[in-house]
Formats: sequence, C-alpha cells, structure tokens
Amino acid sequence: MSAVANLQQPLERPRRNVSRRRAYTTLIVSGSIVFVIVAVAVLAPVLAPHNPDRLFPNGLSAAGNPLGPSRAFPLGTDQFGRDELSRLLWGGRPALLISVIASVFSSAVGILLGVAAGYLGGWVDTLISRFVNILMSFPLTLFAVAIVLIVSPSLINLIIIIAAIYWTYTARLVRAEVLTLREQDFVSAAHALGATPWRLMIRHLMPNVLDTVIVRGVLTMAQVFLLEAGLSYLGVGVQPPTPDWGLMIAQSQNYYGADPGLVLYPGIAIAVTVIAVTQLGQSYRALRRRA
Amino acid sequence: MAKRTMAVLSAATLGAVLAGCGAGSTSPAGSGANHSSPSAMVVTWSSNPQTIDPRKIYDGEDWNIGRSLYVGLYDISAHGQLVPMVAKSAPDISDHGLVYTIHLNPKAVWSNGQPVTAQDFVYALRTELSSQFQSPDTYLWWMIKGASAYESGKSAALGIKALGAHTLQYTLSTPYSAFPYVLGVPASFPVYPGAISRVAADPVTDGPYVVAQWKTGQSMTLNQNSHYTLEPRTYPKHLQFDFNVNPSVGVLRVENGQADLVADGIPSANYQQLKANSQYAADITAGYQPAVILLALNERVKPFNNPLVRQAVEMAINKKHLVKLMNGRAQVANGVLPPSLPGFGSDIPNPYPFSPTKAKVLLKKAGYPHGFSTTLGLASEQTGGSQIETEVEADLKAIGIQVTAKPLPTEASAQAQMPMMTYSWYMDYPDPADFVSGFLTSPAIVGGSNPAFLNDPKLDQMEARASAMPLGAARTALYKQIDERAMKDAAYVPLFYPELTYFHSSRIHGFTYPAVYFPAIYSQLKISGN
Amino acid sequence: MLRHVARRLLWSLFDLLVIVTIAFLLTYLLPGDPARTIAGPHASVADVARIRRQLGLDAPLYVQYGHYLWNLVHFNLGTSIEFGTPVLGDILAKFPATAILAVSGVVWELILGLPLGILSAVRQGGLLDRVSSVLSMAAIALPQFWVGIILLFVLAFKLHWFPLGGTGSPVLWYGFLPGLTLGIGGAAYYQQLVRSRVLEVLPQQYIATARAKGLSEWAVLVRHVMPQVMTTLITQIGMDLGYFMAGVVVVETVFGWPGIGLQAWAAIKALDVPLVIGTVLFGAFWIVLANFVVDSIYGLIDPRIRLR
Repeated sequence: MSAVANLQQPLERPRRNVSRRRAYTTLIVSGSIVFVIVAVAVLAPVLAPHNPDRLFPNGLSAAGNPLGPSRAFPLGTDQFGRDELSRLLWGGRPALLISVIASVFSSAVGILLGVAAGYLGGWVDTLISRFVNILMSFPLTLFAVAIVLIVSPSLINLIIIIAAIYWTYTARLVRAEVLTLREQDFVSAAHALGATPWRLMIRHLMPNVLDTVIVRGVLTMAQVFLLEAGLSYLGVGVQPPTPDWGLMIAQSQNYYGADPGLVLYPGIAIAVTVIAVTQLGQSYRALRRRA
Repeated sequence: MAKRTMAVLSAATLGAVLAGCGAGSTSPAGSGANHSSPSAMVVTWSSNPQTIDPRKIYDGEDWNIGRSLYVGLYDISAHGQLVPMVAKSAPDISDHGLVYTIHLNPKAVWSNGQPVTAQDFVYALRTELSSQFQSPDTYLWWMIKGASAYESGKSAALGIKALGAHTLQYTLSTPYSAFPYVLGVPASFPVYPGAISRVAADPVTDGPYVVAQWKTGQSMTLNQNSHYTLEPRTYPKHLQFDFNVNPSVGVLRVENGQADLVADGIPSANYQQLKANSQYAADITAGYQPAVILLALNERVKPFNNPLVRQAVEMAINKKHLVKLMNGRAQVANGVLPPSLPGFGSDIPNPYPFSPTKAKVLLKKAGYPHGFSTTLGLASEQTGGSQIETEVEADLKAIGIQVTAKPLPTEASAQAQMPMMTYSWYMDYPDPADFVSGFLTSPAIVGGSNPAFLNDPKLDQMEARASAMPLGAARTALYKQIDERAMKDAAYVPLFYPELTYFHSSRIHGFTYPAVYFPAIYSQLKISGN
Repeated sequence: MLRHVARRLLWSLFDLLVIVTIAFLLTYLLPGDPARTIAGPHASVADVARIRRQLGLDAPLYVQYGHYLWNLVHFNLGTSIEFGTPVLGDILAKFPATAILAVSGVVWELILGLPLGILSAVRQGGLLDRVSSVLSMAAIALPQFWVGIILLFVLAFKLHWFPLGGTGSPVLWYGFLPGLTLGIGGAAYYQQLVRSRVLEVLPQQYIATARAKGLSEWAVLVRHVMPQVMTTLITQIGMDLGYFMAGVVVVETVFGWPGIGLQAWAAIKALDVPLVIGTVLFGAFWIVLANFVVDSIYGLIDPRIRLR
C-alpha cells in the first residue's frame, strides 16, 4: 500500500520549530492516550461487558439486522449479533501485539546491522546496504500479501513478515547516523585507547543511536498498525472471528449507510491510536534534540 | 454443480462501500435519466467469467452469459418444462429408454448465417469429453454410452452421432429418465467447428447475442445477434457486464441510474434499507434458489470418521440463527433436495435436531470429552461465507471444538485432507438425480464431487433404481428416501437453501423466478420505453 | 558522471537478480505443487506426472533456477493458473490503468501538498498552518481503504459528482476519486516536508538579500524558495511514482479500478500464485528503476553524492 510507502521516512523529517514546552505537553497528552489505549487492550477481558465472539440470539433485529445502542449493548451490535463495544475494546489487541513485537524485533535487528554496516564499512557495509536496498525494492503490501498467501496468515507469521520488512528502515537510519558519529572525537579516542571494534560498537555507538532507534521504533509501530489494517482489509491479516479494528471495518464496510457506527468506531480507534503514537515519537525526539 | 458460486458476501471482503439511500428523497431505481445508453442493459458482477466456452461453463454468471451467447437443444422453463430451441420437438425415445433421437430446427443458424447442424453438437461433445480438454462438466454426461472409456482415452466410441445434418442421436448406457434435461444445460450447447480458434474470446454463436467487446477483468459488451430468430427480438439491444464490482457498490450504481442489475443479488448490508424504501418495491425480485448449502465432514479424516462426532456437529449448529444472519433470506435445510425443486422438494425431518447439550454428550461418548481443534475450508465466493464461518466457529466452540477457517485449497489432493469444508450444490437441471448422483452418491474418490467421501453401497443401489424409473410419484418417493438415508450418515450437514434477491432498475421487466440455475435469462428481459 | 550512472546501473541489475532469486525461492520452495494446480482438480495421477515433467519440476533445484532465469530473460514470467495465459501479458494489459492512477496520485500529492506546505510555512502558526497540520496528521493516520470508502459514499453516491468506481470515458473523471485517495496520504507528507524545507530556507542570508533588493514576497518564493523545495521533492516524487506503478492493491480494490493491483487481488482470491508473484516482480522492477533514476538525477544535481 502506497500510503505506507509514503510513510517510510516521512513523519520524522519535518523539523518543527516547536517550543520545548509545547513538545512536553504533546508528550504528556499523547503518552497518556497511548497509555489508556494499551491499558484498555490489556484489560479488555475485565472491561468488556460481554464475550466479544458470542453471537447473541437477541443481538439482531427480527429481520436479521444489527441493533442500535441499548442498555445491554451500549454501542449496539454488529451484523452477526455480537456486542460492538466488547469487540471494540478487544479489537486493539492483535494490532498492538503485532506492532509492538514487530517493532521491537525490527529495532533490534536494525540497530545491530545498522551499526555494523556504518562502523565496520567495507564488504560488511556493502552486503548489508545491498540487502536493505533489495528488501526495500519489494512493493510492500503486495509482497506481504504474497508471502502470507503462501505461509498462511497466523499471528506469528504476520509478526515475522512485518519485522522482516521494517528492520530495513531502522538499519538505514542507524547506518547514516553511525557514519557521522564515527568521525567524532569520542570514537577516535576510544579507538586510540585500544577498544576492540565489538566493544566500541556496543559500549559507545549503540547508546548514541538509541534515541534514533527508539523514535524510529515508535513510528514503526504506527505504520505497522496501518499496514495490519490494510492486510486485514484484504483478508490476509488477522482472521475472523478475532476482534480486530481493521478486520471490523473490512467485515462491516458495506454497512456504512445502514449502521455507520460499525465502520466509524474502529476507523476512529485506528486513527486516534496512530496519531497518538506518532505524536509520542515526534515529541520525544523534539525534546531529546533540545536536551 | 458445486462450489464457486455467487459471492453475496465473501469472507475475504472485496472492494468498498455502502448502501444507504435517504429514504423518500430517492426516485425509483435508475429512472433512466443517467443511463449512458437507453438500449443497453448494464449488469454488475463482483467476479470475472472463467470462460465463455459452453463446453467448460460451470457456474456463476458464466451460465447466464453462456445462455446469452448460445442456445442448446432445449430450454428449461420457469416451471421446469422442456422448451424446444434448436430441437424441433421433444426427443423420440426408443430402445427401452436408451436411444434419444432429436430433429433439429432448420431455422437455427449461427451468427455467420450457417445452419446449426447435428455435426456441431457431435463435435462439441466429443471435444468436451476428451481427456486433453479438462472440462469440469464431464460429470453431467456419465450416462452416455462409452463416456468413461472415451474420457480416459481408451476408446474412440461415444454414444452420440449425426444422422444427416438435422438429426441427432444420443445412446445411453443405462436408462436415465432425466436425460432430456441434460440437453438444456450450457455444457450441452453446440460450438461452431469452423471457427473454433475464436471460441474462447470472440465466438461464432447461435444464441441471442454475440460478443462485441471483452476487456478481461473489466467489462464485456454483447450485441444482438442479427441471425437469431428462435426468440422474439424484444430483449435489450446491448448487454454490458461490469466485472469486479463490489455488490454493494453495484446496488448504489443501480440506485444512481448507472447500472440495471446486480448479478450477485443484494448484500445483507443493503437489504434492509432497500426493502424499507417503498419506491423500490417493484425493483426487488426474490425467490428461493434451487440450491443447497452444506458442510461436508470428511469421513476419511479423524475425528470425522466417527459418526458420533459428525452427529454432534450437526446437533451443535444453530441453523435457525444462521438463517437470521442471512436476513432471513434462506430456508433451514434438513436434506439436500431444495423445496423449490418442482414437485420434488423433500421436506424431511432433521435426524439430529439442534441441541448443544446432547451434542456434548455425543462428543464425550465418541471419546472427546474436551473437544478438539479442527480446520474449516471455506470455498471461495461461498454464498453466505462470512455468516457460515462466524456461525460454525461460534456454535462448535460452544461444545468445545476449536475451528480455524482457511480458504479451501484448489488442489484436489489438499482438499481431500481438509477435515471440514463448506460445499454447495446448485441445480443444473430440475431433477433430484442431479443432486443425488451429482454428489451424494458420486464415487468417493479424490478429485470427485463427493468431498465428504460418503460411501454407502445401499444408497448407490437405491439411486441406480430411482434414476431409471419413469418420472412420477413413485420415483419422487424413492428420492426422498435416499435423501433421508443419506442425512442419517451426517457426512453432509445441510445448512440452508439460499434465496436470491435481485435488485434491478425499474426500467427492466420480465424477471421470472428461475427453475434452474440460470438466475437471469437476458433474452427474456425487456427495457421499458424501448 | 557517466561512471557514476554506469555503477548505479550495475548495482540495480544486481538488485534485480537477487529479487528474482527470492521470487524463485518463494514460488518453488514453498508448499503447493504447481503441477497439480495447473492440472486442475479433475486431473489423473498420470496427467500430473506428465505436467511435472513438462514443467521440469522433477529436475534438481539449480536446473530449475536456470530455467527460471532463462524464461525471465525471454520475458516469460510463467503462466497464470486461473486464466492459463502468460503472466507478463496479463500484467502489461492492466498496466496502463495503473500508470494513469499512479500519475494522478502524484499529481494530487503535489496539488494538495505543495501549496499547503508553502502557505503554512509562510504564515507559520497561523490558522491555515494549524488546520493543515491537523488535517495532514489525520490524513496520514487514516487507513487508505477507509478514506476511499468514505469518498466513494459521499462524493459519488450522495452527491452524484463522480462515478461509482470502475473506469470509462473520460478517464480523468473516473480516475478522480481513486487518484485523490491514493494521493491524500502522500499529500499530507508533502505538506509537512515542504513546510519544514521552506522554514529552513527562509532564514538564509540570500533570501534576506533578495528581499533587500526589493523583490516581492511572491517573487522571492517563486525564484529562490521553490527551486530548493523542488530539489528535495524530486526524489520523493520519483520514489512515489515507482511505488505507485508497482501496483496499488488497496485503492484499486476499493474503486474497482482495473489495474495490476486489482488483478493481483483477484489472483490472491483465486490462489493464483504465479500471477501474484509475477506482479510482485513487476512492481519490484519499477521500484528499482525509480531508485536508479532518482539516484542518477540526484547525482546530477548534487555532485557530492557521486563521491560517496
């Protein structure tokens, strides 16, 4: 999906002239929103009024249509007679799980290979950079879809595929950063003091690129969130009956006119999450840069 | 025919949007103002034709397109009667029901002006059944003398021959009273041997239309065939099929006057609002389809080799609720023979009525007190696919069976490993033999049309007896017994008989409820004011 | 200069070779027997064996790999399982529609992103800046299919302004909404990119000099700021074109736009692996090409790159 392609480096480039205070406020606000979203997802089994997969015999109108809000179903039901609120509360779990794990993995791989490429240079750099370039040359969505088609769309497969694609962005950024760090005094000093390349990379370079990696990791989360929704829309992401925001939109997309909430609620949930996570990453970076 | 059928709502969702017409503000569907051409009927379809070669036509809108391009010896009317088309009259049957002689109507001509001859039918069938051709329709012709040896390439003899240009003779290996109906399905249509290289894309046809333009994956335009005289030429001058259109978007197009018919029928999401709008009352045509949607429980895969487990599955499934999920646009099925089958619909009792508690007891007895995990193969474009998936997963979970749904693999060998799958049978011709010999008693082989591998010699004997009996009450009663006996085995769990609800623009007239699979015979429709 | 381009070209070819190898491994090493799939559900064991031999599937891996490369050099990407036609032919037949969509997506990115980016930088902190910041934040955060669904419903169905998906004549009218949906996310990113670039350029000494010479604010923008912005944008435009040409599955699916993305999506539903992998390869080719062109152009504009 090209929106995702567009997001590859995007959000991090604009260097906003935000005052420190404003960045701080953004950090607090977006951080709290993210915290609430994560807390709701974790506590969904406790918070949800109903089992999200249960088909309620009284969950459909006589003609077999979804119900509007009522005391029993605060946001009404979906077209299968399931409680919409419960599904919404549970629905962030798969995407959060996928995006957190995939982003941690891709950050870990990205920082290792990025530092190695940037510091060691030579054939190591050539090899890694080439590989990054090649992986980035696959059309993202279609490539993910093709692989899922062959290996079947389980949660673990989705995480592996997404992590295997996204580490390249981290690696590329880290490499660039290490290239500039390498020229700085503390590196040559450490080198002169007889630090081994390993020690240098782990003790000196990695801590210095950690900020970049954290910010990149947070932004990766936001992008993976959208990618996962797109894959679910195409039917190769999270599988029914698992409650998942992307899948909820996909399954109810035709109800826009009959019962707009079924499309709007999960859409808004995705947008709020992505915005909050993105802002969290950007404000963190803004603060660190000024610090 | 089985499987790949109309996509009313597929599990993997297609395209976009939605319904919703501000009630009251809208005019009757497609009042005509926006139509690009007053003489073209525009049909949207969510899928693509697999083929327009009648020898390979198997399902979906392919049937209707095939019937627009070609006609065969007979048509099957809305009431299940045989109507002569290329044939002059009903067949002469001799030799104790083994030989069928048919005289052709000299008025039947190809779109290049050449007469349709008996040789054309012989050519079509001999190529269709040849082993290289790989037609999915060969199962329809099992009763033709020498068919199986011919198909496997062991013999060149086949029970069809031309006695002169206008007399055709079929010889059967066993009496089969429903045989004349087989001569009404697309697989029996002739092809023009003189231009066979064009048959796949731009064929010489003998039906109401010819292909004007076909953009694969996008659209197909048909023009009236000026040589066709077998039906009055009151049908639309042009037919335009738009492919890959989400059915819900198709509905919007009809509402906005950009299309005339949604070939998929009305999706659940749009049904309520269209139904509630009194302006559309005359634009919605509904009826039960001559079809049955089932679950096939593979008798060769554990644990469904255990009859108790199969019975438990049937008892666990809440068919009534499933029908409600389909907006009530279906009827609960207890047997395979649909009630809409003229004169034959068997209203048999369910041997394993809905009862989750009893189902749990059965599972325990079968040795699965804690249930088990299994896989459900979903046929692509399964009618009611997402509803079936949701209902079956939830119902079986309630008795401890964890179900994971997967798209049904296309390879026969992989299908044979699938423990449980959705299956549907759409009527080819209005006779119970089509359902019974088509899949219930079809040989339990890999790659056959009996995916549950139901194998009951007693059932096969009953079927052999019934198919040879003359059409009538005794035969009907025997088929009902066959259905009942087969259902006791629970290899097939019938779910529902689907209803097809069409939404069309108000300028289109002439929809009759179809007795056979053809949901729309375009040459019987009219555009008003034209 | 030429040496730089030649080196890039060689690397691009190398990239393509590796991509092709990955695609080969995907098609041949993973589960699913192509012979069985091609033979169809009604084939006998003997038929399948015959097709296996025909396809060379009983040969060792390196021989199959050789065949695969040989075929590719002859523009043979395999045969579609569903249609039985050459995959490359199917893709090329649908490619023009995708190309039109790709171009109009980029045009939308520019139409929306460029003016909004410049204006919000010029009037930094103003109402327009704030509104467009919020909008671009939202545009990036909304799933593309969701945006498409809503545009289709509101603009095409409710307001009757545009056709309800598909294609026809004039193609610009049919392509309006798909192009907009495709471009809207990128436009938001362009807005942010352009805004920050302009903010970087404006404080520079030569801008002040230009102003001091009495140039109008407008002339300063056009003559001194725009060239800087365009240099930054050109890379991005090139890459976006590449990505869009590679097939936009979601947008084409939502609008029933008959390009290679919609075809690939139908192939996915039909489990037509050769057609899907073929489209992936075709897409990768475009992205590698875009990379190559952008790098070469960049080398022209900025000689420092060449030294790297």
